[in-house]
Amino acid sequence: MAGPILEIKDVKKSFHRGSQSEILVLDDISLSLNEGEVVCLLGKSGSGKSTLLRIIAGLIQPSNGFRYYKQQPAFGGVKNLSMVFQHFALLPWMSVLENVELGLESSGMSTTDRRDKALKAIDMVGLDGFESAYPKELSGGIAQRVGLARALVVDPEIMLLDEPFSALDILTAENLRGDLINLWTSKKTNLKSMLIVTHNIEEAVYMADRILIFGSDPGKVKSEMRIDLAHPRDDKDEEMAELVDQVYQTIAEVNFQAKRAGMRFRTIRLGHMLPSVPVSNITGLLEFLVSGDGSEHAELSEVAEEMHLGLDEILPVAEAVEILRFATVSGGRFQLTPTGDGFAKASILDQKKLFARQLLDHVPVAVYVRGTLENVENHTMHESELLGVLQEKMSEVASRRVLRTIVDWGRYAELFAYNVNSGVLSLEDP
Amino acid sequence: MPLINSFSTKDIKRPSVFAMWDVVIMVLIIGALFLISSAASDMLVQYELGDPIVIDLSPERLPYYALRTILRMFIALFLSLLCAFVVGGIAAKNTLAEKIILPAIDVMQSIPVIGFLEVSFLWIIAAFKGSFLGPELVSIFAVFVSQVWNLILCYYQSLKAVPRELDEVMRIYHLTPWQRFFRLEVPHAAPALIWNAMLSLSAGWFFVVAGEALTIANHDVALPGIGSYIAVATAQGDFQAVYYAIGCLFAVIMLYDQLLFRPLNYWLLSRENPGSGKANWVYRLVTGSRVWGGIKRLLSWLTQGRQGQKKFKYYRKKPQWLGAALGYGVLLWASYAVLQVLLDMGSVLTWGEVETALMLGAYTAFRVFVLVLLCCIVWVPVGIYLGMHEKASNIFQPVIQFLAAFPPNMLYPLVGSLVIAKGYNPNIWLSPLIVLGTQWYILFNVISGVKALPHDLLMMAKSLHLSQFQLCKKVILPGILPSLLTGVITAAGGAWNTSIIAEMAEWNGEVVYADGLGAFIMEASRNAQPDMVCLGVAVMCLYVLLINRVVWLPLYRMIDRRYGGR
Repeated sequence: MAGPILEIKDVKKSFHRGSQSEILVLDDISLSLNEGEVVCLLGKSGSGKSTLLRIIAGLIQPSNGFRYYKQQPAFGGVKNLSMVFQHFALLPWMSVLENVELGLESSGMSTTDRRDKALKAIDMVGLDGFESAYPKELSGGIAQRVGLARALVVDPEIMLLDEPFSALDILTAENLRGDLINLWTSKKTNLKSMLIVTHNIEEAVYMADRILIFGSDPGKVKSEMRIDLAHPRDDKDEEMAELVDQVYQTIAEVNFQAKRAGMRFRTIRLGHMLPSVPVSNITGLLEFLVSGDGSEHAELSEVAEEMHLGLDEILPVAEAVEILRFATVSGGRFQLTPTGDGFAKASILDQKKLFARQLLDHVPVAVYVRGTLENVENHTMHESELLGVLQEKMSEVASRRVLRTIVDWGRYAELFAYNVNSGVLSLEDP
Repeated sequence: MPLINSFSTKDIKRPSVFAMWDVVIMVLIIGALFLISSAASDMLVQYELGDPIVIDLSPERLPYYALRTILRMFIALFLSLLCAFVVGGIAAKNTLAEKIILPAIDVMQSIPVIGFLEVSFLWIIAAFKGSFLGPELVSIFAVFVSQVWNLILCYYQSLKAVPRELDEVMRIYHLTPWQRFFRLEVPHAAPALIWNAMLSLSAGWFFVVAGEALTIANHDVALPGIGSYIAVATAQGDFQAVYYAIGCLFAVIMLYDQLLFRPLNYWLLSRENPGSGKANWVYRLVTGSRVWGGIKRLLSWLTQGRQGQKKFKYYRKKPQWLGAALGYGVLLWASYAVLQVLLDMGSVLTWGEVETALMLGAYTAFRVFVLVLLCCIVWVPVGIYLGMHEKASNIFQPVIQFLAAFPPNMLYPLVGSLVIAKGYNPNIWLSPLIVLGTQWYILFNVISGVKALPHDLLMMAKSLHLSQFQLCKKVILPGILPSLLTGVITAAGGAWNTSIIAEMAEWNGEVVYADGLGAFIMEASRNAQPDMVCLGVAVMCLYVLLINRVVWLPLYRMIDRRYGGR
């Protein structure tokens, strides 16, 4: 084969913030889809991987960089490309058959041809009998099959899938994954390449020939792994389990490699995007680490599984405990600090005091709020003031998220109070 | 196709049973077309301002008059929908136009509809000189203005709420704007649009009746229609004719309710949750017929673009300047018009007159406030009861819907005759008329608010053995505050609008006025004082805008934040 089917080079994407400042979402990304391969883009949510997928699909224009379809520069839509959406994206006022036919509506094909093709696609994904049903009547698994049929009906060479299984329950997702891989290996279709965006490590290892590990702030492909197992793969297989662990490790390294040697913790500035983690998750993690068979070490993947958290959820918690100096992460493992150990074993009141101390020692936003409140005359401050300071460094949405997090933490630590109606921060209520 | 196919097909019987109905439906359709075309051709006859229009008070003429009125209603609705698609579409897709259109609509909404009528009357008549279309358009315009802003906003909001993924589906599969409009945009907006249109139609009866018979600049213009019929009957003090007219409109609204409101209402319901509720008989009949299948196919064929876009470009490099030019054009024209009017008024009016208008505005504001409050005291408990009792609400809801559609101005002559004959104080006895039509919004909103309360909350109250009073005070009232407030705002807005015709009573040649801004405008218009009319309308607009900005909006925000959206 003479090179990749679809390729992007040096793609950057930034969004404007206000008049001058820009926020870089994707930084210098190059990737290619080759004939006969399934590629998984793996990363936590909010890391920009959906944006990247849409740039690849031609739905969004990158700020910089190039896109090639079969070595030709391509802007906008590409004929033989289709997409499967996280929330299925079915039109609720159309039946299953009409939804699938919609894929061909612009083809100029005759009505009968369209119907034939749609029925064939419906047949392929095992949906016979559902033709006249409406999306409202369908379960998630069936609805996503309709999405798949609509993507297949145009006989695409490239299929882009945006978290296709994440809105489904575990069993349904497993089932559909298996069917998709069977369809892929059966060669019944014209498909040459699939790109799947996911935050599920097992899913990536199960589906992909190549995994691209995506890091955030700004989004960047940090590492690449080949998976050379033959399809269909078995979840219970030892080799699979090992690969999953390996991916976990890589992700942990990628996410936490920012720390330089000798600096074990993350020291953050005022403009840092605090991870949106409720206090309960932090205390839950610490107490779990203390309880875990008396050991004070635990693997990231193990903890995630035990606490029923996805990759998406465990990484922010890890970041939060690092910021607060309760634990560190290295080599894919948590390690409690003496402070963290003390915290987990303390009484509720002592926990609050300890939490307050850590906040004031290591979280500049908390220091800023508390300091301002203590120094102004009436000991109150409007949220807009804080948001204004934060927005010099981040988007409005992100600044609101930081506000919500710091309010949650501050309330727990009894450092300050917040009135949601008036948006006023104040010293603790009398 | 999508618009129609969303009908649930489950409750349709075998088509063979309905074969006979197909004939009936065909006959009905052809008959309706014949009637409409004959009435429509009457709209185009020669007319000069001052020509006498004779309204015949014999009851046989009533069905014809009703037909003319209905025709006006639907022309207005059609025009408003068209306008909504165009203006709403532009506002949603062009950021510059959006910035102009939205605030403009905000202002337009606060201008009293009847006030529009008074101001636009001479202008429209002049534009269609020599044709009866002029007076017809004035009446249609009144209905149009009463619903168009709402529909534009509704379509705009719906377009803004199109889920991103659906938008991307359209682009990934290269659908043309035409296909996109019919496959995505219209069906997505349909429920909200239809619901709004139905409410507007209900409210529209009021304006079509008010807009038919106008006494402006010493000219009596009475378009053939129910509104004129009752106006003439009122002027002549003919009780019998008044009753005929009320009866006739009663029948018309009954038909509208059965033939249109309920089938569409059922369609909306069945789209939300397929297979629920009992289908209305008209709905079953129409969707079961073969004619329907044909119409569906025809629509599908019409809405289907022949060929897709060859390629889609990166998203919307639309000519923004087009919308901008349009928007600024309108803005410039509007500010010029306003300036002109202000200058005109400034040269004629005295401060005393302005002060009078402001003072009278305060009277009307007070009247609106007191009556809306009274309505709350009456309807909130009733609404809570109906909301809590499924059975009672099933019985009364259709009745209330019917009452809401019945234009209250049909009843004004009865009250007016009483006030004039007995010499009652118009300031008190005419006041209830301004909320006669709009009070239902309060009731509707309370009922739907109660029904939307989370079941858990009621169970919690039960488990705590709260008394009925405590339940209302601690759980239900706070829970329904946002919807109650919505109802109150709508009712108050409507009351301002109504005050123009409700603060005056006429019977058998005698006229009395209450003290208020509405009466001020009406009196000025009857006495051919266009400057005073403009002044009155401007002051009313000012009051409505100010009250919206200073009272309702902050209150709504506060309540919605505190009590809304659990």
